[in-house]
Amino acid sequence: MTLGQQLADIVRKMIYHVDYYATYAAKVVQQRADGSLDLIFDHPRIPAMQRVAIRYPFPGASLKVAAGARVLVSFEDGSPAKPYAFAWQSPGLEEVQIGGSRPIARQSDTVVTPVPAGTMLTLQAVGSIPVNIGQAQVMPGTPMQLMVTIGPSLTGSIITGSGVAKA
Amino acid sequence: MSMLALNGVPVIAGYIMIPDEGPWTANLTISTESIGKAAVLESEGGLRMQGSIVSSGDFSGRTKTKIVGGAGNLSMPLPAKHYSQVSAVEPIGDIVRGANEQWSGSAPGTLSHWTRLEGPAGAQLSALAKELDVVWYVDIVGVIHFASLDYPEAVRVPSYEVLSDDKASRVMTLGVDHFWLLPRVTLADRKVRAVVHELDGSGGRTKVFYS
Repeated sequence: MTLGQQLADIVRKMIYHVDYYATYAAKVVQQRADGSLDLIFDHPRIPAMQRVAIRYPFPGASLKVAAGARVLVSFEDGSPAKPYAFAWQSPGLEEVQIGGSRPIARQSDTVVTPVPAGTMLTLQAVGSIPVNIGQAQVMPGTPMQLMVTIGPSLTGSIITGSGVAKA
Repeated sequence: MSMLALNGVPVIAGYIMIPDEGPWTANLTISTESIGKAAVLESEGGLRMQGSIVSSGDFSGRTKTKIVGGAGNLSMPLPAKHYSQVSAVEPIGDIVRGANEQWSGSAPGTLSHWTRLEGPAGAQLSALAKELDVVWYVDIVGVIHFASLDYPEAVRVPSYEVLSDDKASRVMTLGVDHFWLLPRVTLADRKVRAVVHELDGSGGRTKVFYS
């Protein structure tokens, strides 16, 4: 072994821990029921990992992501025992929750919302074409009022909107 | 027998360095050329240590050897591996087996995650020891241990002479008839962190690095 190789050995041992302070790109293999991730990494020195927790930029948030989503992984305090996933690249997002248990919907996402019995709904056609809702037809310019009697769920799509999410 | 022998061959000069963490090493000069791969160091009436000769060569008509405790494979690079929800025994055992070393088989604690990066086996063991808040070391027969540092009082202490005690650097030099001291004990109210046994033409000394 040359002096250079011996020195390289010593340096490798001394700086081994430094690599735990870096950030590594990974691909999601699967997301488990508890929200944690199974990951494979681009860097050959990093092993495939299971059950890695996601860290969110604010409390109470959670994500559902698809296999193939890409994320950055680091180690809290540089500890090999504390990996976490924290920053994402598109695509792969399936659902976001901010507080509570209901997902946030994006424009064009299908949403389902429960409607308590006794609620009065006003339906209004947008544009100039009648809209069929079940057996009823809503004419443009003529809002239709419906009394909910059995507490159904409504399914529709987010067209546009803005607001503040709140738990 | 001389104060120190390597595989039965008297050692002319050199030192054995035994730290409180990691493998012990020795750099020794002997007069014989061929001494094999396995190393047995013996100080009559004192230490008997088993290790591996990792390098040796002729130097001015004598043979200089470098010896390390255990099988000498702790610089071997091992591949990356990840564990989740395991006893600490599992990742330690994998490293030890991967490096063809021996260990006691016990270690405290469990790990919710453990991420072993590709690298030298010794560095991987050090990372685990740090996480478990213990030290790892290779004992005098070449077995790896993971244990806490509690510095029990040294037992069966033979007579020795304190040649010097540098309290600023915390290094004490002992005049000894044979080599006997190991680190991780308390000697004369000092916690012995590392020991260097030295031998030259004037005899043997033991340097004690303490806290």
